[in-house]
Amino acid sequence: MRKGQMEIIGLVVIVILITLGMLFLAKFALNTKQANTLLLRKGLASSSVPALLKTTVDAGICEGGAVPQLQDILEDCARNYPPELSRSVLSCEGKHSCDFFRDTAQKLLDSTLGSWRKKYEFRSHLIRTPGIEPIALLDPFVGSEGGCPSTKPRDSSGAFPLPTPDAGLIQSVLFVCD
Amino acid sequence: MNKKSQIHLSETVAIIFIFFILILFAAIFYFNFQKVAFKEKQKELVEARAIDVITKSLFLPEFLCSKGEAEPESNCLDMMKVRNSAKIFERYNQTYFEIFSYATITINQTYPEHFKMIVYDQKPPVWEQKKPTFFVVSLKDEAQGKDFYGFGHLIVEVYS
Repeated sequence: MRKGQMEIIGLVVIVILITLGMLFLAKFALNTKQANTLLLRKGLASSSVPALLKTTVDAGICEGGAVPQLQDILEDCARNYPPELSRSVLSCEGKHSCDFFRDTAQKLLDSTLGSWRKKYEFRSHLIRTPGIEPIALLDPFVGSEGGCPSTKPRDSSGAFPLPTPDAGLIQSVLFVCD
Repeated sequence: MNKKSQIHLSETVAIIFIFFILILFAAIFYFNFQKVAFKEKQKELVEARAIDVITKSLFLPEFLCSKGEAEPESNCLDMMKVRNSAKIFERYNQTYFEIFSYATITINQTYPEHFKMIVYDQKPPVWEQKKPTFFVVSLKDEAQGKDFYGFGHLIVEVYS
């Protein structure tokens, strides 16, 4: 091969390398997730659980004229767990408190996080005695857009504790992802 | 000019030509990259302003759920205060403009009853786009009963 041809091949290799470098640079620069978006997602996850548990159930839904908050429903669910074996004290829409809590919480989270096309996953566990494996109080539920498996980048509300005097400690957690 | 010199000259011309092509590519790439980076920065600034307005709204004494000297409830808006805030905002327009600038703040309750309330609305005379940002809140309303909390969200729209 002549010297000139070798120089041109060398030049082409350099051009290809530079182009590849620029493409990688652009890819990483554009993929960087904005700090603000992440901050908002974290805020959404941590504010949704307390707001959800504080919500007062609409009048006329629960039997006996009771107007409980969703945290009262969840406490009642823990006291009367599992739903297949015992009736709950609070009965709303004719359902066991565990089922009512699950349906209502899903409806509320769908009306907010779901409508903003955010994926989420809600779990609630009961720790009867410290050191013993927590019991899943509800079947974990996910939003209409899908859930947030641990393989995806997700933000958590943290384990939101709800102590009950006689049933143990309820820990609820919400994961939000894009 | 002998043949060897001619070849050498054409080689030099080809190298200079490729060099300028490279510079042109780099310039085009840099220009496009800067354009995207500028748009991203603009978007980031708008989002930062939205977060700022949301934070100010959540901690504004005119909205905050408080009870005497007790610690205020976080992420909670007192609807009794919110209903009266419109008059205050109107009277002290300039003061609140210095806090929120050009923005629209809406409270949207989704449970038990659906309702929407615009509490602050200042649009700039000219704007290209608005960016809505959402935040989940509890809506305390003692007019509906003691310890009554609705479920809703705060929508903050900022303009650019």
